[in-house]
Amino acid sequence: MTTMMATSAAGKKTSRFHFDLRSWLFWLIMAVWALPVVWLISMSLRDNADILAKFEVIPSEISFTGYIKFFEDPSWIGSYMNSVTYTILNMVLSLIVALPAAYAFSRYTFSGDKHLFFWLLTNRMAPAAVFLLPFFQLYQSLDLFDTALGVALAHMLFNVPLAVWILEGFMSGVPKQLDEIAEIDGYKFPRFFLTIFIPMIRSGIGVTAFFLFMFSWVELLIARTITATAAKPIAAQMTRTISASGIDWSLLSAAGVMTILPGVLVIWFVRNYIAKGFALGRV
Amino acid sequence: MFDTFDWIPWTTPIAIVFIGVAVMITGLTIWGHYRPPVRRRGFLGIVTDRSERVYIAIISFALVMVISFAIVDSDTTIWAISALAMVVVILIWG
Amino acid sequence: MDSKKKNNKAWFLVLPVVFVVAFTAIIPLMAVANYSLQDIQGASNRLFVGLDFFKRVATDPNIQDAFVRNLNLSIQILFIQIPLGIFLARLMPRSGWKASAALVVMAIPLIIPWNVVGTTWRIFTRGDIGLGGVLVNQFFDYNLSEDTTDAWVTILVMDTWHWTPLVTLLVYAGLRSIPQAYYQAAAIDGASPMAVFRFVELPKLKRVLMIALLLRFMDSFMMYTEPFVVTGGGPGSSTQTLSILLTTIAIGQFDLGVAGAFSLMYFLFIQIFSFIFFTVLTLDERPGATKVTPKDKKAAKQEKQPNKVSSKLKKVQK
Repeated sequence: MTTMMATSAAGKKTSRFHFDLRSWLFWLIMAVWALPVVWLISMSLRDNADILAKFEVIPSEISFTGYIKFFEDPSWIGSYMNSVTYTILNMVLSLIVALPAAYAFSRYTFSGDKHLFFWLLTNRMAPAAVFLLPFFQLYQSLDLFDTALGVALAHMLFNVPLAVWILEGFMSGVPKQLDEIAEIDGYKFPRFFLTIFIPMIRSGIGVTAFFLFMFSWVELLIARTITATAAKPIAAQMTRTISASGIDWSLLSAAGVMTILPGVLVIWFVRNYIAKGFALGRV
Repeated sequence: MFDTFDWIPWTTPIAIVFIGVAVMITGLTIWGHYRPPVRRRGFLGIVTDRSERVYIAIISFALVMVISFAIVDSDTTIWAISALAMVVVILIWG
Repeated sequence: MDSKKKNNKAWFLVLPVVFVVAFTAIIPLMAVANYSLQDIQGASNRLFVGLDFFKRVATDPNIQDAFVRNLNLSIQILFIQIPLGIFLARLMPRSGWKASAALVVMAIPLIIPWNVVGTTWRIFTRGDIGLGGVLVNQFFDYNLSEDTTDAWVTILVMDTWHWTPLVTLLVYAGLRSIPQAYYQAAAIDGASPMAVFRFVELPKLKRVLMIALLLRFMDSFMMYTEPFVVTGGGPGSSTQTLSILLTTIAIGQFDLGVAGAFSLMYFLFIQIFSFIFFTVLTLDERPGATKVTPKDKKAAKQEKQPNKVSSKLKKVQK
C-alpha cells in the first residue's frame, strides 16, 4: 500500500529509490519465521556425534549420515512410502465422492441441503481423539486395521467435508448457463460433467487436492492408532523412536526434512492458485 | 454389512436414541415436504426454521444435563424435567 | 443463490458423501455412546451403569482443569494470532515474484506434519543443541521440561509459528479482493492508515476473519500432536490439552466408559461452538432476516381480504 501511494503521489522515479520500510520489516519477520526449519535442515546435515559434541550455528562439517540411515533402513523409508500411499489414496477417494456432491450444492436446492452442509462441516471440526477407540475396533472388525485403505477412509472424516466446501466455492464461480447450453446441445449429465465441467474447474481441483494432501499428510493421531506395522505412517515412526533411549537427532532431523519436501513441492505447483483457494474463504 | 455394527456393545437406551433421531429426521423431512417450514425470529433473537429449533433444543438439553452432572449430588430427574420444559419452550417460542 | 433450481434428485449426487461421512462419523459415535453407559470388563462381561460415567467425568477435577486450560489456551491463541495474522497480511507484497515467494514461505509451516512441527520445536528449543533454546538461555533461565511457564509459552509460540500463516493467507486473500478504487477514494479523503483499515479493509475482511476465528478456535480446542511431541502435556499437566487427556484415557488406559462419556461431552461442546460460529457467519445471508411484526401481519391480512372478496364475487358471477 505504501508503494502504491508513493507511485501515485510522486511518480515512478522516486519510488524506485524509496526505502521501503514495510517491505524490509516483512522479510525480516519471514527470516525469523524460517529459523526453526533452517535449524532442522542444519541438524539433518550433521553427524549425531557432532551434534552432541559441540553447538555451532553454521555446521563446520557436512555429513549425510542421517539421510543415508533414513534411506537404508526399511522401517524409515518404508513408513515414509506408507504415508505417501494413504495420502494419495485419500486424495483420490475424497475427490471422487466430493465432486458430485459439491456440484449438487452449487447448482440445486434440495430438502435439508443447509442442514446437511452444516452436519458435514461439524465433522471437519470434530476432534480426532473422540474417534480413536471406535475406529480401532471398527477397522479391526472390517479387516481394514493396519492397511493404507483403512487410514485413507478414516481421514475422509475431515477431508471429504473440506473438499465439498472448497469445490462448492469454485463451482459456484462457473456460470449456470454453461450447464443449460450443454443440455441443449444434447450432452447427458455424466458426459457433460466429466468432459466439460471438470476441466473447467481444474484449478479448483488442484487447490482442493493441495488441501486434501496437506491435512492427510500432517495428521498423526488417527493414522497412528489404526496402524501397527504394515501401514505404519512416518509420523508414528518418528514419535516411537523418541521414546527409545538415546535419540539419533541427525536421523530424526533428516526424516523431518524428508516429510517437509512433498509439501513444498505441492505448494510450488499450486502457488498461483493458493490465494484464490483462500479467497473463497474455505479451508 | 452387519459386521459393521456387530462389534458395538449395544444398549437399549442408545439404540432408542439413535432410532429416535433417525425417525425424527425422516419425520421432519416429510413434514417439511408437505408444509414447508416458515422462518421466523423468536425469543432466541435469530431467524430459525423448524428443524433448526429442534437442533437448538436438543443441544441446549444436552448442555443443561452436562451442567447438572457437574454439580455434585444433583437430582438428575428434576434437572431432566426442567430441561425438557426448556426444550418445549424453545420449540414453541424459539 | 436465488437462481438455484429446486431439485430433490440432487440427493443422488450427495449420497456418496453422506454414506462415507456416515461411515466414518456416525458409526463411531454410536459406539462411543454405547461405551458411555456401561462398564465393559470383557466381551461378555458388561454392566449397565446408566449415567454414572457422565457424572464421574463432569466432576473429575483433572478433566475440568483440562477443559479450562484448553479454553484458556484457545483464547490466548486467538488474541495473538488474529491481530498478528492481519498485521503480516498487510505487510505482504501484493504482486510479482515477491508475492509468490512470500506465499510459499508463509505456507510452509502449514504443510509440515504436526509431529514434525513438534520435533522441529523440540530440537529448536533445547538448551544444548537448539538455536532458540541457547539464545533464550542467554537472557533467562529457560527449561521447558521443568518450568511450567516456559512450557506454556513455548506451546503458544510454537502454535503461533505454525498457524498464524493460515490467518495471514486468509486475510491476504481478502485484502486482494478489495478494489484499488476504494484505497484511492480513501487517499483523496485524506484518511489515516488506521481509518483505511477500520473503514475500508475491515468490513471487507469480516467473512474471512470469521472463518479464521472459527478454524483457529476449533483446531486449538482439539490440539494434540504438537504439545504431545514437545512437552508430552507436562511438566505435570501444565500443557495437557483435552485431546491429550482423552487419548491417554482411551488408548493408554483403555477405559471405555470414561472415554465414551468424555468424548460425548467434548463432542457436544464442539457442536455448540460450531453452531454459534456458523450462525454468526451466515447471519447476513439468512433468508427472512427481517422481523415480522404484528403490524405487518395485519397489513398482510388486509391485503388478502379484498382478493378473497373478489374471488367470491367471481364465483357468484359464474
